[in-house]
Amino acid sequence: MTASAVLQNSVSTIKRPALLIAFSALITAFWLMVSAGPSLSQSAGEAAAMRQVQALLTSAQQAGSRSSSKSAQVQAIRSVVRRHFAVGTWANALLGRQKSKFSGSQQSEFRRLLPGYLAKLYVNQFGGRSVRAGEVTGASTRRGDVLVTSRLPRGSGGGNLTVVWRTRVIGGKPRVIDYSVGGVSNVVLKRSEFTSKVRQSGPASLNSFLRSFIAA
Amino acid sequence: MQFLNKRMAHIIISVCKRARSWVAGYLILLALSAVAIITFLGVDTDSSKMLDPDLAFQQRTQALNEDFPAIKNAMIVVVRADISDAADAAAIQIVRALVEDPDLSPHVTDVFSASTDAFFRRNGLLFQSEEELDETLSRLNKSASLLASLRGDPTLPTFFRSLSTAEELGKQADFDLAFLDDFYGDVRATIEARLAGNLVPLSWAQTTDSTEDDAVKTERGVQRIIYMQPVLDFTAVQPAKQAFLAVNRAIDSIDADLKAVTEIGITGDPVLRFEELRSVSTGIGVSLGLSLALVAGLLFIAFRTIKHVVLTLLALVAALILTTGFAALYFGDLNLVSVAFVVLLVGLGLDFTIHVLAHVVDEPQSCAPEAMAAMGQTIGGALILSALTTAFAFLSFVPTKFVGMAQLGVLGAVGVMVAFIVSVTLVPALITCIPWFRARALKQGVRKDGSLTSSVLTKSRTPLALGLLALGTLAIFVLSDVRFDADPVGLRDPDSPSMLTLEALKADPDTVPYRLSLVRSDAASAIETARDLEALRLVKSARTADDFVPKEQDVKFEIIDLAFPTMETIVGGEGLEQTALPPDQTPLTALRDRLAALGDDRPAARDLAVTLTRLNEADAALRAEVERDIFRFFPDLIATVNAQLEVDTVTLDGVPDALKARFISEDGRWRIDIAPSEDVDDPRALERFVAQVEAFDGEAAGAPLQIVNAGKTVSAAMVQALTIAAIGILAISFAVLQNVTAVFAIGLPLALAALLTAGASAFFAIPFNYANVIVLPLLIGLGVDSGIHMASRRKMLGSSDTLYKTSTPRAVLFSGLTTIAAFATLSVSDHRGTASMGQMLAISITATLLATVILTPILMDAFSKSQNRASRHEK
Repeated sequence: MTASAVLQNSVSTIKRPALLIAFSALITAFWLMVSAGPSLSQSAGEAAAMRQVQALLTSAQQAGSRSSSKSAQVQAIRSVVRRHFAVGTWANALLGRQKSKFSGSQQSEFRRLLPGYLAKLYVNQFGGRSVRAGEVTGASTRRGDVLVTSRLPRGSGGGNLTVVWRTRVIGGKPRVIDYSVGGVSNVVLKRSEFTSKVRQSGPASLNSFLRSFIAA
Repeated sequence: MQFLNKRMAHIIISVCKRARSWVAGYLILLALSAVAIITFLGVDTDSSKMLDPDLAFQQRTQALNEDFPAIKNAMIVVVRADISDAADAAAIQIVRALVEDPDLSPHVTDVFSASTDAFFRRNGLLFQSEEELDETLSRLNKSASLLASLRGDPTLPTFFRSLSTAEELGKQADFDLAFLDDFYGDVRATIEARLAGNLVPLSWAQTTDSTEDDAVKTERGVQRIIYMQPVLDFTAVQPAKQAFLAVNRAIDSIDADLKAVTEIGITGDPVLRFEELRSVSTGIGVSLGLSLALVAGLLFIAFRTIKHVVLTLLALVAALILTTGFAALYFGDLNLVSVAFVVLLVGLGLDFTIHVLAHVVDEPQSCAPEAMAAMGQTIGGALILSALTTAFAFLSFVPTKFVGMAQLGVLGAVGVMVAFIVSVTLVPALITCIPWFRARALKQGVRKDGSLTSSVLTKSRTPLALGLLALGTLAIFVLSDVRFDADPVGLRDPDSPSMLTLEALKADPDTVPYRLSLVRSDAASAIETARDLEALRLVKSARTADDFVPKEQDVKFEIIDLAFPTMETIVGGEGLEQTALPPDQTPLTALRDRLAALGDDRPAARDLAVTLTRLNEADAALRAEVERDIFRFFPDLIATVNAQLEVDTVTLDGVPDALKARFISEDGRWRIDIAPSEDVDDPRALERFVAQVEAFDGEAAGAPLQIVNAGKTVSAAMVQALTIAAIGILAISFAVLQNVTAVFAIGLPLALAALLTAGASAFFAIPFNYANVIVLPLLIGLGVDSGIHMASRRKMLGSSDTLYKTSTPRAVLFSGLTTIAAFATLSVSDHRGTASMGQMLAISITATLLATVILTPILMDAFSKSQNRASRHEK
């Protein structure tokens, strides 16, 4: 069979209606797969982030409720923070250019203190001893990060608090790089406070503040 | 001299014989002149065109203007307000009207304002420093929940509940809520103002933008600038008029509440010139009427008959029309200096007719052709000589680099000759044709007046002469302070809207209009040059187009990225779930009670609680107004944050064309915009700035260079012209009078008058400028005129005592007084140039009159005695 005969045979083959429909369906399915590819993978990322945040909320609630004192709660939640937060990213974002004013040891100390500080913030903001864990309600992807929305029971006054967790895949796992309440980003808020402290009194003063905040 | 006298008598007799033909000829000429004036005459107020265009600094500036027309011709709207929200909102509405209104948009192009431009609204965050950006995003972050809640429901109840929620959650979570205190202060001010019946809208930008703290603030508040190019109509007397009116209509079109909280002005070269012409012409009718009345009054005192007052004024009007007709045909456009030729003509044109008529009525057969011929026989030569010397004085300006004055020189020379010809032709012809103009000989009046003048001058001339010499000596000591102010701004009415707006620009170092420019062939060399320039002590900043491409964008994007979710929440998310209201409380009372319960460390919160108590007692209508005041600019903030979410990497290509055109020419050359570090309102600081930049690079151009070099050029031109005039006049006078004594008797008082005028300029701090520099040629013209009349008559009569009894000193006195009377009213003009012209004219003509009338005869007496002694000694 010559090449032209094969071609003619093929053309005559796809002229048949049933085959034509099948071929079209195949093409459509292919394009659907291609175009849906990223969103499918994005959904997977969002799902992973949601699972991670839910695990964070549950772990934090359990750690808090098991602890008898506030300092014990902080200590317990500190390990949750270390597990679920990208502490290095937090450190970089919180210090910004002020980082250059820190010596190596001061930076190390800051990084060591940071999980405790974030844990204390968590306890102060969301309460350490909630009867129920927060609940993840949704997720969306923005600029490569997944924003996971959750509802946490309010410490007092009833009602819920909507908290949005910003997660980024670091080391193969989604980790929390910021969270915001009512649109107020914790990183931006604390970055401003830290910058001001470092400018006024230097890096040692900031570390000292972190220590006393955690101990208080 | 005798020959000239005889010739003049012959001409006058000839004119009288054909008087009707002469009058008819004049009528035709006057009609033609009037047509020429209406058809061709214009005024160009561009002061940069008054100097020789071939001068190096003129060429550099011309080249700069051609390459960057957006700088020279820009019209500038300055919007000022206490808060940037109001300034921005007003600027947006003005720009929109100018761009979108089909009635306005044809009159302006390239409308641009950084505060309203989409590029800067979108990428504005990148133009902040890292610290500013951090602070701005921090503020935005802290306000995010409040803004998100209000976006959905911008009402007072939601406002109060959101603040209560923020307070409660802040307390629970150990948030530092001190940042709210400034906001509470602003809210309180807004509510209190409304309770007092005033409008103080709340600034949302101040709450969220850190750059508002350091925003460009003049004494009157925040400033926003809109640049545009007027579409000039050169067929109109005021080419920028339609553009000016269009911008005014755009300003009028903004919302009434914005008008109440903003101050908006227009300035820029086209507007300054438009208003300058308007300020010069405003009240000119009243001034002219008053001047005419004063001149007529003086002429009446001089002539004692209304007939000759009318005749003198007719002769003046004829000379003015004929000379203006010549100006229209020969030059077309007059400039800021040459437009003052009218002043010269009134000052000098009257002289000839005054002398003619004063001598005509001296003759026994007053106004008969014989009397007029006799007048010609007596003063004809003096009239010709004074006309020639004065014309020569004016022509001495022609070869100078001061082309503005050169034009005036030509007009002055032509005008003087025309006035002279009119006085010896039209005046005798009119007297011959119209019997009403014939006045009887004023024997009685002349004698009385003559004896009064004679008495004063004879008795007091020695102390008066000594006084003048003493003043002249004092003037020498202040001569070093005499200067020429070449800044056209110094001429204008300081209270005119465009000048007040210009002052606001001058008060801000970023917009000060005295800037220099350097041009480089490419970006790299321009950026490098700018960097080197900024190292100079007298340079505050050196900007290029590259400064509109933000630096360290990567770092800034990282910072913006941190706040990205916050910004999205503000424009599309939800704020905190509101806390429940306590029983029987409204949102207002709940917030009030919560704030009232705060500690002493939150005084602003507690003050707001007091204000909320008052608001709670107000009626619904008042609360609705408070709600409007609080939310007036809220949508603008949401729109700004929305635009900021679109922030993207900025490259030079993205910079708006209207802005780029100010820095990059069409052929790709780069301009460096150089601002001074000192207050260049001080002329010495301006000179230092120009000197330092010129020493760095001799190709610098711009307004400061123009001003400094124009001053030097004009000063040099004046010295050159005065030297030529002095030598020429003395030579002509000597040639005609054939008497060295008379020439010195004319020249020395003239030099003293010039010294006194310069000394007065320094002493009274009235620097010479483009408007009042006219006094120098006028001084020469009037001084030489008067000196020749006094000297030739004194020579003819043999003694000063006899001279003082004739009509000559009276004619000299009145020709000077009429000039002072004509222009003294200008001293109170709003236009500073015009006012200084009136002041300097009054000073210089007084000095000239006194010096000539007193010193010329004294000098001639002294020379005569000395000659007599010498001749006796020889015998």
